[in-house]
Amino acid sequence: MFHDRSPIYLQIAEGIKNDVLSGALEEDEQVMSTNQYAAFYRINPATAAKGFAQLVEEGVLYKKRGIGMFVSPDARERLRAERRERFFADVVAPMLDEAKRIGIGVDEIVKHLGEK
Amino acid sequence: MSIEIRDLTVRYGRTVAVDSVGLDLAGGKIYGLLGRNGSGKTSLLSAIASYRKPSAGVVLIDGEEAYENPRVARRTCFIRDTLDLSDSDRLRSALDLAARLRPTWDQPYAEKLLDVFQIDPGKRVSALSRGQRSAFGVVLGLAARTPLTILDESYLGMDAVARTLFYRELLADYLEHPRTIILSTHLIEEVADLFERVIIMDRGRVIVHDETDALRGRGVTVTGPYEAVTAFAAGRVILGEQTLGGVRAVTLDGHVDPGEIERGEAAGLSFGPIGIQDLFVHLTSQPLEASR
Amino acid sequence: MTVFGTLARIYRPILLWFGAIILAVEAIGLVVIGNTVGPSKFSFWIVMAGAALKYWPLVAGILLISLHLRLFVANGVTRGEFLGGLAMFGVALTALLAAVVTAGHGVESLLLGALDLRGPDYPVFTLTGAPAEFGHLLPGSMAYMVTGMLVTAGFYRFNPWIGVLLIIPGAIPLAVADNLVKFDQFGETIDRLPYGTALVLTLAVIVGGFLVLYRVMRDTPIRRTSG
Repeated sequence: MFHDRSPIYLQIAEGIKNDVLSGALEEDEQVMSTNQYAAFYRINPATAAKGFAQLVEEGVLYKKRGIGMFVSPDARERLRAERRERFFADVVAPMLDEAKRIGIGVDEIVKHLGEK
Repeated sequence: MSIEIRDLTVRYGRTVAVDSVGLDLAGGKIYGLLGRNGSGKTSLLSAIASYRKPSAGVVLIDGEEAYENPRVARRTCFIRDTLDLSDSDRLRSALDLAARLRPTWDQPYAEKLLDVFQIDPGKRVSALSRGQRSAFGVVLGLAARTPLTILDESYLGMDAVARTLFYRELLADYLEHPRTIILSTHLIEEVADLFERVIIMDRGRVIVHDETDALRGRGVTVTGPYEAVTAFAAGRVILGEQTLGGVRAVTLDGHVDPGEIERGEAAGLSFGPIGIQDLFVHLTSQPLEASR
Repeated sequence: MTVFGTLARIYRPILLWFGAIILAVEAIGLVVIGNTVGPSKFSFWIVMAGAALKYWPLVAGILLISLHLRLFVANGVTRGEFLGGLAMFGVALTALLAAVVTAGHGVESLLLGALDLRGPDYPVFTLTGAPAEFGHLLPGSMAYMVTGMLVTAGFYRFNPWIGVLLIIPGAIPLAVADNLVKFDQFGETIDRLPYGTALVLTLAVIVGGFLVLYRVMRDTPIRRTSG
């Protein structure tokens, strides 16, 4: 579930973002309460609350007082835009570095991708 | 219940078990107390629970001095690994005593826990296995429902299944009845997720008191050519190191900026995160490694 | 009150068993004496129940400190509260036992009288003599109990060597009571001092012993059970 090499609250936030992106969580859908989440994943509720607070701050979730937390209507769009921006820096750049190190040229990569 | 510890020292003859410790614990959280054998965990907990009078210093609970204070005593429960029971007693009579003396005792919950751990209350204390004894301690500790519950190595002798049940019940009951819980343990990896905060003791002193999450990702291992690693590690806190041929691996305390990692990687270094267990091992065995 | 009530509950079944055993021994003893020696020259009840009146509270005092303190502290009772309840329990227990021993002597006396088995020296029980009998039995019982607690406290609080040394001062209440107040199987009492003076002295030593116990135990660590 969680590993202990990075803060769990970040892992929680990341997991929920992935669920929003994949559509497992619909926009305006209610998410689990922190206590439900804590009980389900066997973690301290304060840690879960911190993960949720992070998502509220980032605008992925919004609070309805006395009811719970919901996925923001524009969350998926925004997350997608954000991830797209990071895609080249986070995914493509390291791949190109590695390719360079082992002597694979860009045309070879393009050719490989074209075959897919 | 909140706990304030001021300059607490616990001495046994000439041995100093707890060495002028100061600690502020806010109420309503689950704390993990970690430390090697003989680091002073049990002595600290004994002083908090007033099982032992501080040699110096004071323990305040909700602002009141704890020692011999009936209001505090009634709201504190301390379960030690040995259990404070008579061997010849039946479990039933230990439960009856708790029910009589503890205003917060929840008998139906105690019965439920006995069921969960499959303990027969008709047995005598002496007939319990080490693991069952520990489990019975957990029953007494959780069913007491005291605002301050202290469990000292309450998993001793429990098998993996019993420990899982213990952690599950602890969390479930805490979610329903939030209270201050202090749990001392060696088995960091399997319970760390339950702790909101972690306290690490080493030779009578508190060396870490932080959010558990802050310890995840604290510390990195850096591996690479000897000179490059040495240059990178300069000026940082080295927790441990290993050298094999021209390759050096060091464990550093604290966070390393992504920018520095990028530059390091360009210089041929590789970085890895370390877990809480490793961090704990490094922090509490530091002088040994340093002397090598 | 909770400590007192709980101690009473814990000790009730033990007391009932013990009482039943004493009664059985008394019955057998009387039958044997009646069939062999003939009319009894002394009160077998006072020999036996009188000894029990001292040694039983002595043992109870040992257990209360070595065993029960821990159980109460583990359940959220302070040492001070326990010792307070213990004082009340001690007075109630020894008073009850002394009353039972006195009453038992009355029953034995009546029974032997009815069966014509009272020897010439047998201490005949009288209602007017009963208060004095009770008054001589009770302080002894209390003193033995305090000694049991004090001696155990020495071992509990300090290391064994100091514990051994503390046996001597711990035994002072017992020694004082044995030498100042007594009622034996021949109905004899000690008259070294007038009863009033002896009683005051004995009670003072008992109360003093208890205060020392309080001081020693209020700061004691709660010992770990080894198993």
